[in-house]
Amino acid sequence: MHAEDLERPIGDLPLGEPVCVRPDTRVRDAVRTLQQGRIGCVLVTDDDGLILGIFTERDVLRRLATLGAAGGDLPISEVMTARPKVLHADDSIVYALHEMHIGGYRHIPLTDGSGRPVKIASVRHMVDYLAERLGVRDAGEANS
Amino acid sequence: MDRHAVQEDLEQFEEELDREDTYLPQVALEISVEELHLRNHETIGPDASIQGAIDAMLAANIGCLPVVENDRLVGIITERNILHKVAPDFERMDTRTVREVMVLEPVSVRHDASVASAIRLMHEGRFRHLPIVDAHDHVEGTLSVRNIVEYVVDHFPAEVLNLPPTPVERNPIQSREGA
Repeated sequence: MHAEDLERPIGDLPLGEPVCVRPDTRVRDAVRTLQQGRIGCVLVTDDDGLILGIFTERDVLRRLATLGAAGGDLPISEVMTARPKVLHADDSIVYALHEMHIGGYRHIPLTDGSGRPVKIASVRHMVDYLAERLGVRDAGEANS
Repeated sequence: MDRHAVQEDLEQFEEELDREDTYLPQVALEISVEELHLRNHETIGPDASIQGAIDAMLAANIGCLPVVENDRLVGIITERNILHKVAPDFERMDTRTVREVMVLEPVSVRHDASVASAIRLMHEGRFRHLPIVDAHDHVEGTLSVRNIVEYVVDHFPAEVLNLPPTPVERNPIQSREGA
């Protein structure tokens, strides 16, 4: 693995597709979306598709563990993290790693030029890329 | 694959890594998981409540706790476990126990394994966390994917990290954890 491997654009990686909900979505339904999609976050977008916030697994524990069952009925706009950090497809992989590191983020949305989400980069994607550059085979190949 | 076979497989993997390569493999080979000096040493017992586990995770700012009983690793409990097995039934979090939702006999990593081996285990097993154990299977802490990210960033040339990647106006950085 060379330093240049980490200077490639983040948009080159096979990242996740964003799952978006409306700001009036109830927390209970957003949690169900996380469960059913087996995803770590949903994005909250407005009528124009612009990102208003992000709601993650950690938020489920943090918000609902303190609010209790009643928290499930709140609109997600009240518990999301507003104006999350975003990246662009031409930002470098190492820049994404750096942002995840200093911000403590596990997920960062990628937006297009107009601020609409196009992908989700997660620490999992980063570790998968590092593993690939280290020559680790995919689990499927390892078992075949 | 049993634990002994996993250990042998990892040792072979480390031997086969390209030592002539210029950047990460050499560094990754030289550093063991133990040498990362991780701060995550929290564990929990199987009879603790889910609420207790959540409180401990949030206090330690970590998404996973090794479950230890009689000084032995018996499971792990993660944010995702709780999300899938408990939420949104939050009424009963203080009566349900860790034992009910924990993952049994989790894959762990030895404290003297290399970071490269840990990356491989996480990649192949789709794990975000690995309990770290000593030679006697005593739990020493938890390795997370975020620790790996920190490790890579810490070893990347500072001049690259300090360069703004694109002259695009960005949202202000939020002061938060765990997005």
